[in-house]
Amino acid sequence: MAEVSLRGVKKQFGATQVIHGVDCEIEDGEFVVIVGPSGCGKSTLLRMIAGLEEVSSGDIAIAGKVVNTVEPKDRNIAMVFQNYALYPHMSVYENMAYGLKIRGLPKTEIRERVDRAAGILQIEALLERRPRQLSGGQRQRVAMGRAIVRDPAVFLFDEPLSNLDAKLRVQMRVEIRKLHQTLRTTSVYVTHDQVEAMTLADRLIVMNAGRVEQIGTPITLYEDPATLFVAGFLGSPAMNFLSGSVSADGRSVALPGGVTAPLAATHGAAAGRPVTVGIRPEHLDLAGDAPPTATIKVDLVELLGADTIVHGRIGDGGLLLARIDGAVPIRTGESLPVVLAPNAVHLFDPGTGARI
Amino acid sequence: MIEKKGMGTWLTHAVLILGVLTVAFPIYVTFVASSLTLREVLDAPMTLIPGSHLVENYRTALFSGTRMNATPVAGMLLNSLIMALVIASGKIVISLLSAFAVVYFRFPLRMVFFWMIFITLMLPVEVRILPTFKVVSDLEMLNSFPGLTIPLIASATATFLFRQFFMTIPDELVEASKIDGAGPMRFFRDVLLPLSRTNIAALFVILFIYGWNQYLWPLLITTDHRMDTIVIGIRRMLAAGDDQIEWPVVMATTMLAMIPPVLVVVVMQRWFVKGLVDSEK
Repeated sequence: MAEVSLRGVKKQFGATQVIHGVDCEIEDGEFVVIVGPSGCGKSTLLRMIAGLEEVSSGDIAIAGKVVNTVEPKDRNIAMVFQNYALYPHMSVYENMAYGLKIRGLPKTEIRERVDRAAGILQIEALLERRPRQLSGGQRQRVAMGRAIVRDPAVFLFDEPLSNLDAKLRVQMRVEIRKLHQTLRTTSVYVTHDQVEAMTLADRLIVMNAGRVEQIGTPITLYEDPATLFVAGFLGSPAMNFLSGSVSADGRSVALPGGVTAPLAATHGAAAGRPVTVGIRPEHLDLAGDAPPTATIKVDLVELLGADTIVHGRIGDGGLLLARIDGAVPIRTGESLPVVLAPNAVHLFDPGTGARI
Repeated sequence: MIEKKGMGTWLTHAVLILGVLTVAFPIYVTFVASSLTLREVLDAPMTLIPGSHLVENYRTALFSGTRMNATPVAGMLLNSLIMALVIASGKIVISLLSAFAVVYFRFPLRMVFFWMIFITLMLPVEVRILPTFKVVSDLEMLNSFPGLTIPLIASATATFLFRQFFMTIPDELVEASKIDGAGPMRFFRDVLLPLSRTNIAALFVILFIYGWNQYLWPLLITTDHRMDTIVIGIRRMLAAGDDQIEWPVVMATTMLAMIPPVLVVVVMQRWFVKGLVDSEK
């Protein structure tokens, strides 16, 4: 068990800077997910923690000890790879035992540890098989088993579920979470899938273009995004962004098509300025008898059963998605009056993307 | 696969049988000749029915050789076997190691070394035979096994082949073994070697036959009869001068010379067929 600290960690390949200084303290036993789009540097960051990439500047410490120059094998970490990286010529048992064998553990202890890990992951029946005789989900379990038997201070996961099909991914996600609740090992998990990130994380690190956008619990980041990027990245369907301008008194914001949305707090400083307005689709609801905030011109309706996604427009440029509970009969071309909760409106600076 | 019917089947079979006959007939004639007396061989046309002197001819070949070239074939077979085995295994060991170095290590002038190895592909033994002979003779390695084998061991082809194979092994496997705590040589032994075993088997067959069939190099550097390889031996048996060539014994020697390569192919075939069927990566 150990905490992981990143202090001003930077990475450059040649002249290209790919990580521009990351600071983060990961507590003992915490499950931290690093999430971001492809190429944001999240995998590189994880590989630096693993010791597979050198740190260009800054410090990485595991359990209070700076490990910048420590070999991967001496960092007391275990890593689960995207392509599983199982040794194809070894049986499942040998795959899991290999690291222990190298460390020179006695045979009986290796047997014991592998059996215990196999029990936790329910792969006892597969121990004599070769990786190629296993399905994707089973391979993933073996890869995790290989990590568990080492009893490391930190688990590192590099997009471990992205090669699995959608159903299996959901199932394995739950299992990883349960596993963490059982073992309570500090874990760092990299993914580009925001659902995975939201469901697994104790804390999220959202990265974009080599920079940390925001760190916090999933629900904080969802409800209170610090930047336009975080707001747009988390949530599915994604947050609606409209260009608008704050009224002179700072109490409402003007949206395209002559719509005025009230604000929960007075934004005096932003008064009269153009802003980007963020509205989550689920915060738009059918107006019913209440006076509508806006009227959406419906372009397309997606009936998902549990909810209905309405693609529509307000005014000319204002594309809008609304997510309405239940299967509601809405027709394409209809004008749909909707209400908007005032405390659900997020304002961002259109230049910097920062929250106002 | 689409199955052919009627004429198609007959035609394909006819072509195949013709092909087999073309290859097998000369071998059969050799076999028949190795079972006759010299007089019977020289009869024109030679009979195609095996005679009764099979054991006698093979015994003569193996343990005494022809009268003019009184070197027993058993010794030559052993020489050839040692040479072919040393060349094949030497080439495989050296090229595995050099491919390992070129693919997995970053050292100064890495690509220069790779290209240097690669360029030697253009220089087969025949092209560099005089300088190589000079070096071997200066090192006093004439008429010795080191002299026979070492100059033939360096192999660009096999290095290149292993390099290409190593490059198909996913990087994550290397990283996983690093995290498991395996050092470079441990990774080489525990992961690379087992994964390359079908490639090694295939190469071994090719290289064993290459070594076994060497003619020009052993001809140059061996003068001592005790160092004769089987291929050289056959040639010496044919250089009988004014004497009559002892065809039955020569043919028996030829048959004997064919056995080891055939055995190697038959035994190793299982391996590389297996390698082709289950590609595990």
